[in-house]
Amino acid sequence: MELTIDKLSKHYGDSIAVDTFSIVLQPGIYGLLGANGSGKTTLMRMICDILKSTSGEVKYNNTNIKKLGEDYRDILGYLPQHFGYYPDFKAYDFLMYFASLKGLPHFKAKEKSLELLEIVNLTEVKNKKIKSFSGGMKQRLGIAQAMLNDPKILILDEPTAGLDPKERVRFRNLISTFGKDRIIILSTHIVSDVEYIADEIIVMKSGQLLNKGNVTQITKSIEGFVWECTVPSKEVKYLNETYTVSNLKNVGDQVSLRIIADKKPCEGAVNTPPNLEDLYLYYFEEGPAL
Amino acid sequence: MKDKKVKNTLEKYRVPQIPNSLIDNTVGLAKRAFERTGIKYEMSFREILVGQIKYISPSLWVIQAALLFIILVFLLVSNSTHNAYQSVITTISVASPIIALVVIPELAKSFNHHVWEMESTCKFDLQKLLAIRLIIIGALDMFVITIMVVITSTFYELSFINISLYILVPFNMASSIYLYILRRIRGKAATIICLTVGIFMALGVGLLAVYSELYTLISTFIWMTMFIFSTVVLVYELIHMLKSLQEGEKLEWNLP
Repeated sequence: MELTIDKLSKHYGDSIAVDTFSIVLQPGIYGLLGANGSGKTTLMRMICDILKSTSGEVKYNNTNIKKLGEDYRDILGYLPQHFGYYPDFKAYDFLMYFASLKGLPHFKAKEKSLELLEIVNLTEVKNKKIKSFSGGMKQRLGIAQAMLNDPKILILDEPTAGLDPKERVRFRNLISTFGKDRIIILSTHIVSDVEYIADEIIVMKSGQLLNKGNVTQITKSIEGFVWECTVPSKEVKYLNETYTVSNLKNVGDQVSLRIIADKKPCEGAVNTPPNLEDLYLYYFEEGPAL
Repeated sequence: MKDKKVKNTLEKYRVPQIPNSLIDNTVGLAKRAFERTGIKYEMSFREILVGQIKYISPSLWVIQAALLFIILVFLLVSNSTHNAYQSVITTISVASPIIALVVIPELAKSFNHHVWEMESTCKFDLQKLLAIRLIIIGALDMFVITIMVVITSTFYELSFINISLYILVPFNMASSIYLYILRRIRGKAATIICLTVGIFMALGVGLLAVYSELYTLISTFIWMTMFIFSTVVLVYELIHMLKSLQEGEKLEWNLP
């Protein structure tokens, strides 16, 4: 199983949302990382074939997804950034409705809907109207909807938005379990969402692919740029204004800082191994949003 | 003798107790084995159509039923007015754009509630879904119109064909305009614009119907021509509306 994104571009007049983006995806969990406006949603919509590309193509097992049509949608699961719902639908009805659109026979739709309601912890409220749900509950229902047809390709746009920490952990475990033999792409600008579960991180900036690899590989690119130092409080303002500070902690009279900088930011600063959050700040702190 | 022996042997046999977990496990294995075969369940068109009827908003059925009741009351009351003919013509003329109007929220609901993105990625995508909704809604409208035509032609001495034309021409025209608006504008604004246009159309046609002689002055041939023309326009709009659903960028984009 292989999903190929080949020189995919999307232009809106003079603005370029996605710029000759190419990547080959094998089964695994991919975290699509990028600032707001970096083109993540546009890219995902094109992969889902709900948005026409200006140029380039998306291929599933070497066949253009447009040619596959219904067969491609049959193996696709998608949760958009803004999860919409019919307010008068009950949670169970909502899943049954989508199961019918996904072509599931009635007996299987029923079984799958109940199973997913259990997984996303909504069984107790399955007969309640969605409009009475909290943001997290709606999001969980959206995740269940995307998984109804056991998709081979699962695309989740900001899936953890609105989830509390406990729900986030539950979601991460669910995706890790579900991820076997599937291609899962989840976009986020919350680093911790993908740090633990993604096999590979795809970094996107201004519509282009900036970096790709596992956490160790991609953080290697900023090795030597992350510093830790402890300074008197009066120096903090200057350092904060001059450099990208990823962490700041008061230690008695002094302040411990984690700084991302090309060169040593202050006396006594020592290099420290970078993490994904450092990488994100390095790429996006000053980067222009589209 | 032989039968008794067989019976005794069978009675002696005890089915071994099998734990439920093992049964469940076997069923699970069989299910997974079946799913691996790649045999796909293909739904028939009838199944899809019937399956979608229950997801049509209940409010649409209620509003259509209430509207039909009001129209029938007006039609029956018209009999006792001094100018029954004019009253009937006015009622059916005003009713036609409204019958077409009440289904608009149902057609626009995917966009009004922002569900279109998810629906577009399903096996039966938004285009097929809208086509199915149009078939169901169209059938409902035709049912209401048929009742109106039958009642009117039965209670008043009006030709079945003429009454059908008096209702269908404004109905087709109104439906075409609503579909054009839905194709051009997405979201709740489209429903509001359709509502405004619909009310003005109903009032306009209602005013025209006051001069009911106009209806009889225009020959049946011209009415028929208008009907064919309005049907062609309606079909054109239907095709274009369904085609427009494939143009994702025109549906929405999140440019900051």
